[in-house]
Amino acid sequence: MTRHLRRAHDGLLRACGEIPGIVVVLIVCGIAVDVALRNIGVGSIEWMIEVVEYGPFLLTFVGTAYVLRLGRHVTVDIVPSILAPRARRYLAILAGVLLLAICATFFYYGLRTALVSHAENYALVKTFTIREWWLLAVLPAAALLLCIECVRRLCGAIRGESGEADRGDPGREGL
Amino acid sequence: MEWYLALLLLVGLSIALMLIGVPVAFAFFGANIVGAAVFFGGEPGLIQWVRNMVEAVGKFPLAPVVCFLLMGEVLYHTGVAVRAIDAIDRLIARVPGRLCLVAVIGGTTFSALSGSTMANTAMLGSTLMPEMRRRGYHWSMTMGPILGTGGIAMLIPPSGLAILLGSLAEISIAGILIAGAVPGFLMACTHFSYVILRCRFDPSLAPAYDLPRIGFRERVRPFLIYVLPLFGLFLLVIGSILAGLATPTESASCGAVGAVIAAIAYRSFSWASFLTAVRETGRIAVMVLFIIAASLTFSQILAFSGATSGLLGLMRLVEPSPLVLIAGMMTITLILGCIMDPLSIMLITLPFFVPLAHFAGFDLIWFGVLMLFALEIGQTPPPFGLLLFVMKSVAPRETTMQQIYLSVAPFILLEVALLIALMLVPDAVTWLPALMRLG
Repeated sequence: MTRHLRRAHDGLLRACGEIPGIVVVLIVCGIAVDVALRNIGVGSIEWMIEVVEYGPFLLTFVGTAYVLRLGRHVTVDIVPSILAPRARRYLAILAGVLLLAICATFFYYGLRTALVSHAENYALVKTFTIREWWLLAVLPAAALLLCIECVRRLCGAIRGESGEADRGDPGREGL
Repeated sequence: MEWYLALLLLVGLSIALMLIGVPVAFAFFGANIVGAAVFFGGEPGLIQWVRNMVEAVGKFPLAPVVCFLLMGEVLYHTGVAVRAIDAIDRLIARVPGRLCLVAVIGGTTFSALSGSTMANTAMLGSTLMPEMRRRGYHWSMTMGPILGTGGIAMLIPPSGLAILLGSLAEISIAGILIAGAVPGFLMACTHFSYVILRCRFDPSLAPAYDLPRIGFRERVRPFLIYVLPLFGLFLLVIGSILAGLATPTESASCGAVGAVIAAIAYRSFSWASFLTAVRETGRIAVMVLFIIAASLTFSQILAFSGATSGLLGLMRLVEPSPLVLIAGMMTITLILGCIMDPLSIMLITLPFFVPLAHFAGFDLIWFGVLMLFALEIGQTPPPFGLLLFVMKSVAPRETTMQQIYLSVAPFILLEVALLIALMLVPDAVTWLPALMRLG
């Protein structure tokens, strides 16, 4: 059962990991097509800027748990690098607990904000009129994935694993 | 709460979390949660904090950051950039610190193609460091020139950050893009000279090795084929702005499309390499934008707590001369660079710096380029310069942060000296945009 859940979580994270790249391509193509159409005299696509604006937001939060899994969020390792292995392990556990607390707070208030926005029916009026909670709903979902990943990292730290190694992606290490 | 206590709480907490090992973006999140609870009034503040995050990254001006990342990654993964570096490698004969010079020239060339300091540093680190180590180069001469040159992408057009700075400070974007070129090349020349001098005085840092004998034609031909045409990308990005075909924000996407076309023209394009470039861009974009989401909110909370205005108000109290004023602004930017990313620094300081620059009668393009220069330097100083971590991610595992800090130190000093020279001689920055009637 636990193994199935882990696999499902891994699969979900990998799927989330593909979305940022797709959004990047859509942003580039969208702007390029808009520029081309405007310069050949067809005219600008009215809604393009608004759609592109949501791109960076979407890719950031959908992909963040996967990037945490890959250990690719920038981390300062000055203190851990000068500690003895035992002390480094305790520090990793402390960092894991704090990270989990931060993500859990993010989840709780992300959910609260989305629910408040839904209840009050806030709308964002630009070219399109969209409900604010449609965007805000992404945040608790992203935070939940972060929390699960934090728990897995914390378990790894308690078991004495390094925690930064790739656990599911064959991609290039580092940038 | 007094402004200095608010500053201590927010900055101190974020630094403490980073030092414990919490990733930088999450450390800012932690400080934001405490800051929102204390200064924004509990739960309403925390709900506002969540809303601010949507606004922080849901912005059209952030699109060029993503586009320039893709541009650099496509050139890197399709092998176009590596071939260009190889061509530059052939051009340089037997000189002290040869591979370091390849790093400086290659990095400067790639700066004119990618506009991303992180892509530049990563590309130089992963392509040149293994060869430098194989040739017995000392670690200080493998990482130092790469870190020093990696940041030049912020100055040499096209620069994603220059576009952001221009739009945030309402400075002519075309003017600031063009004006960044001269200081960027000056910085490259400074690094070039330093490498030659240092390796001449201590050859053990970069041991000489035999090169296969090749004729002039074989030496120059790859440069003409693999480097010179790539400047078409530079012209595409800058030319589309100057010709009024695209806004500066849009020109970045033209550059990304141009990079794909260049890869196809060089018969280097494959779907596998393109997909790798897209995936990598996505991951780096998530990492960068997540830090931006956290640090923009951090800036807002700092401003709301009164910490920012308190800190900058100290400067107004002193009523300094223009030179002291610009020196003070640059010093604050450099100090903030040790603990924050460039965009956050811009967002924290510009609301105060721009009115002060108007008040003192500064040329805004000169002021903008100096800001970019200081932000560029600010990406490399310890403990939290962003490029240091990019270097750590591409360097061999046994590389320590202390080695990275020591290797970049001489380049930081050189850059600070050049920054002072540009402060004293504004014409070095303003003559080119004045010549092109931009401003």
